[in-house]
Amino acid sequence: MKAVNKNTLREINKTKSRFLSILLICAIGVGFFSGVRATCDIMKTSADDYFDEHSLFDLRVLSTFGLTENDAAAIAEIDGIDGVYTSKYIDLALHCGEDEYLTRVYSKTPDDINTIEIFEGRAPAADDECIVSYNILHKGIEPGAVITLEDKTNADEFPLTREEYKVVGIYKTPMYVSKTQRGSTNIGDGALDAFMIVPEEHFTQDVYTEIYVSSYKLRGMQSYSDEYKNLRDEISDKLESLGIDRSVIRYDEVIGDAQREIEDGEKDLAQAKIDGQKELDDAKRELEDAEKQIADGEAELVDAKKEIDDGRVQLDDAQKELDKAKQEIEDGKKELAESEAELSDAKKQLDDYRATIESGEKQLAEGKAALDATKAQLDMAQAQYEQGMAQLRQLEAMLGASDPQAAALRATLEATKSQLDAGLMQYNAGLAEYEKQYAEFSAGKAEYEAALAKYNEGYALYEQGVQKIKDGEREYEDGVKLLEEKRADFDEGVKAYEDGLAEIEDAKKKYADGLIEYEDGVHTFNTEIADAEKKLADAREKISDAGKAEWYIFKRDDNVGYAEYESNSERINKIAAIFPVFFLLVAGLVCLTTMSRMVEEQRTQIGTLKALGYSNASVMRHYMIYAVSGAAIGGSIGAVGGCFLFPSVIVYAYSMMYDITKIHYLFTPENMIVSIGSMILAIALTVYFSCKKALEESPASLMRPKAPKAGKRVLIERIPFIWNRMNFFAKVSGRNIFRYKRRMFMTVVGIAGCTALSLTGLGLKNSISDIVDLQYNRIYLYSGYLAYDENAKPSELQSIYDTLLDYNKDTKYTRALIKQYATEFSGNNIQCYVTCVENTELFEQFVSLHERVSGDKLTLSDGAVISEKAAKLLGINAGDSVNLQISDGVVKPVRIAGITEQYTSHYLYMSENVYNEVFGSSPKYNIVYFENGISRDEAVQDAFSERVIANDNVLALMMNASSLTQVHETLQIMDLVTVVLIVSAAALAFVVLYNLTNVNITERIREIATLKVLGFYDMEVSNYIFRENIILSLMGGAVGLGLGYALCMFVITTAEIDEVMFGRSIHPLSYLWAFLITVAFSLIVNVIMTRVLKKISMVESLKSVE
Amino acid sequence: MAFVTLKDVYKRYHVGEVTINAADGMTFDIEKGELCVIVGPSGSGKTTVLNMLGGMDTCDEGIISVDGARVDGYNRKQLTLYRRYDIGFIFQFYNLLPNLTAKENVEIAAQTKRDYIPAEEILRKVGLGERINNFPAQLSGGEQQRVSIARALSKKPKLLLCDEPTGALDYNTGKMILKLLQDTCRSDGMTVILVTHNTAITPMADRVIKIKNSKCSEMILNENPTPVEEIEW
Repeated sequence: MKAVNKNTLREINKTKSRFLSILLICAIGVGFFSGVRATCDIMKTSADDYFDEHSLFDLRVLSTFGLTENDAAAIAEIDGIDGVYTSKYIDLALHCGEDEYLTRVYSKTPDDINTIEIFEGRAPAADDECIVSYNILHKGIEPGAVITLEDKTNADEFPLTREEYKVVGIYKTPMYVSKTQRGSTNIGDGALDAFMIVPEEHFTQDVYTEIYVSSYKLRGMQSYSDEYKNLRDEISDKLESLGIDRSVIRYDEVIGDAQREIEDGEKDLAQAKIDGQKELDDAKRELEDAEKQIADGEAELVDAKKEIDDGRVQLDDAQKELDKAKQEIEDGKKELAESEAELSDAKKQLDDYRATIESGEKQLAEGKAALDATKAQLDMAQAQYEQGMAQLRQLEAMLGASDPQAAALRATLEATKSQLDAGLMQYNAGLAEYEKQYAEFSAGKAEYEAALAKYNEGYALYEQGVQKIKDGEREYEDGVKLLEEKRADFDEGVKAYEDGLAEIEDAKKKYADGLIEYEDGVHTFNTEIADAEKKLADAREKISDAGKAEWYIFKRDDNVGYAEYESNSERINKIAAIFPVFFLLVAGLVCLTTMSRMVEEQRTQIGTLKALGYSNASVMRHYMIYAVSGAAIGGSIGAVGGCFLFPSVIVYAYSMMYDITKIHYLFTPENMIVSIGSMILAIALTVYFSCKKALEESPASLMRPKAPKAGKRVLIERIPFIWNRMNFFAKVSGRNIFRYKRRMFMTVVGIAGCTALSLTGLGLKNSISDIVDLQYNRIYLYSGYLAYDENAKPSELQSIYDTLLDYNKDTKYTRALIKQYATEFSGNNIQCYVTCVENTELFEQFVSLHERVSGDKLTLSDGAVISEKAAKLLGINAGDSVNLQISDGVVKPVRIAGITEQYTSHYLYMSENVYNEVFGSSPKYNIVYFENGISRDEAVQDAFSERVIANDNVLALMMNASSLTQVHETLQIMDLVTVVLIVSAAALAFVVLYNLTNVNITERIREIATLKVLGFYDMEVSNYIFRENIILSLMGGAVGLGLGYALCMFVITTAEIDEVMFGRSIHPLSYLWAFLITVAFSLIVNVIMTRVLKKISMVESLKSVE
Repeated sequence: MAFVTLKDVYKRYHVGEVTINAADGMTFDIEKGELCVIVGPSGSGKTTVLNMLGGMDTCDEGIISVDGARVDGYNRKQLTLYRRYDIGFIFQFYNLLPNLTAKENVEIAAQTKRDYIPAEEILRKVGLGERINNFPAQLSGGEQQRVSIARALSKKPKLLLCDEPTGALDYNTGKMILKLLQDTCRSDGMTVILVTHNTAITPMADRVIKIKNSKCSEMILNENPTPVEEIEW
């Protein structure tokens, strides 16, 4: 080995860290360059591997008339074609539980074309088994699920022999690589949800739907290459010309049958029309009769009601009277009772009285008798006395007065006379008493008589009263009985009335049912007739338009996802154009600084070599080898690492959207040479420029130590106000920064790059999270929308409205029709959701239509409004007209009145009028948008959903809140990109700062050692160096924020997925974070470098310069 | 004990398998206020001694004491403080910070200590009153060395260590620098240790220490040092 080469090797060994820094920055630069550059090809090749592995068709033939075995045989004749596979498919609605999915049902094809991959369950074995594509796997369909199929086209005959299948496996198909998009269909909302495979024999149609074609010539070619595309187009042209011939033959075969069928159909239709109309008319008449009857019945009922009311009043009056009578009777009775008591008292008194009278009478009689007896005694005694007297006078006369016998007799007579007188007097007294008593008695008796008479009179009166009461009672009883009878009558009347009422209600209900039935009938009749007419018209049109019988040749590009994948990979290429250049630039600058420093350090050695007679070229060789070997080694490591790392990350990120997961790493010589080569070239140039100046000097001047760069005053020293306030270190740092301008520039560029990358990463994240907020909180203002069968009856639709109103009676809603159509403008094609709305005013409250930048409101009454990203992809402006492919081969222009802010999916909104104009028919609505102010709370939402879904007429419900969550999840891909960018930023910051600080230290090692000798603390020494780093980091950070904004906007516009428009603003906080991240990185480098500073030996560093 | 004492000091460097003794049992004393010249041929170990004395290097064995403090046992932190407060160092190539003016170069050292001589005063003292705002690149070698001396003196060190201070200077300038050092020693009572390979200047010293093969070979005390002006070489 030559001494010079040995010298270089030793040099490398000695200055490992310097060599390593060159190596590292080259590795990063080349890694980025080659990695990002290779990604596009790697993505395409990986996809190609996937397609090859799964034997994806090269071309696909469809015909408006279906395809036959003969067609297939004719295709097989074409040169280059070795695979011809017939297949059938039909688009049906798949039902599993509550859910409905628009599904393309394929017939099973051989394993060597579009090879499916069953990754759960197994292949179908029994007749009732099927497999479904994996994208509805987690939506409730698992192996073992039983599904039913429904034909949404209302064809007479179900297109399969079975309607119910058991899912036994879940598969992936190479035909649709996109995980999110499944292509269009002309049923339902126009977007396919899934696929399934059933045996071919289950299809009732005899003709094939499509024929897959594969070519052995194309097999070895990369699917996205021009080579492939050219040859494929050649074959496609051949197929097309074959198609023209075959179409004619096929047309002739079919047309006769079709014509006849149409005629039959027309006849049937006419008959059906007449029959149907008659039935309807009858029904109508019946309904009218019923209505009249109901009216009559109601009138009658009104009368009856009045009568009943009158009767009730009468009854009440009668009752009242009766009550009164009863009261009177009661009163009479009471009075009678009283008078009875009085009477009986009186009677008793009378009886007593009478007894008294009678006893008095008896006493009187007895007294009279006694008196009479006494009188008789007295008379006798008188007589005796008189006799005695007579005797006496006789005696006296006889005897003389003085005779004792006469005297004795006289005396006796005298005594008797006094006795007699006393007796007489007594008797007279007794008589007087008796007389008196008698008179009293007579008066008493008369009184009694009078009382008796009065009593008798009273009694008679009482008797009369009793009689009267009895009469009254009888009368009352009669009255009650009558009332009861009347009441019974009345009740009967009421019941009759109520029955009548119920009858009328029944009749009314029956009538209402009848009316709905009738309306349904009319609707069904109309739709059926319209359908039939349309079918006939279609058929007629098909037949009359014979030119329409043709083949369509589809390429792989026409499959959703296939072409999108290509454009995604090319988008990466666009990014590849800017990032790597940036890294290359930084690598060059870092290398320039490093090598300049090295040359400067080795002036003496250069001088010595020159003095020894070495040529400039051979001296430069030393540095060339040094740097270029570093670049080569670093570049190679970087190229390999980059080609491995970047595609891995990106393909991984895209694997969230595409089925392509297996990476085909490519280390193409071209990429390696270009990336490593450009790095080596850049490094060689920097070495050349670093050496050039030194080599121009004479050996003698080279061997003299070069005076350190003189100190200079900087601008701020002219401002004493600031300068005098700065401390010592600040002053030194200030001067040092401007002393080494190149290094300042470099550091600022490097740091700015770091900030810019961080900001780009954070900005991307912002713009994505913005979408969600803007889209679902500012643009979509509705609570949700639901899908229903476009052929639903008015009653069914009403029941949906009722369900919504039932939840909240203030719910606002309007119907819409959403269907996906291919849209074209000046050669650009996208799939767009055409949304026709019933009530534009309401709809504009649900979806905010406005121009993004100006915020100007747009209204559908001015014309159709297209979403912003769609407008951008199509390149359309307000006032232009997009071409809408409304059916195979039929394209209609739609004038665009405005472009509205929209972040996800492409929409073309239009009013019913515009729709009618464009489609020539009125829209069949299938969506109800509604707004009911429901809370975003999950439980509330779930409860609401459950209620709505419970309505059988609701096919699907999409709540705004849950869409928000879903979109949020899908957009998390970008988190990875953010991480990649920030990691790259970190790498860049580390390498640049580490390198520059390293150079800074070696260059100023004497200064550092001097400070140490002066007894500066480690901290003070570090600050002496790092203050510069920090100031430069801050400067770089500031520059980087501006740069980052530009970079972020560039990345956003190139990296956007077609279907999504990212936000366009970076949050203020992201600027702050990007800045802080940068500062943090530079602080970390400082911490690492502090150790290096600590290790610097004063003795070694201050050794006299040789 | 003397102001500066070295006793059986060893310093060994291992280069590969070879061990080099930069100090091989070095022993000497220096008294306070003396101007001591350490003289010896290239590679004799005199700079090693100075570095160890200045706290820039440590010894492997032996005793180094300065003003009663055992410098040999100092850790990193103590050594820094020692350099910061006790030592003034003057180099052959001045080692001024190129980006600072003369005044600032002095200040940067002075300001590490609370008790210091103001930069302008000390610069005037070394005869640079007029050039205090010049950058090193604008000064001659002698002027730069004066700034360097001013920087060392401004922090009032206990010990002024000079490593070949005249090595990069012409005869006359060198003489002026030596004069400045001798005057500083005489007038301020500063202990100055000067390392040189030039034996001709030994007469100016109070004490001459000769070093040979990493050992103190001879120590001479000069009763009557010659003023620098009278020395010729």
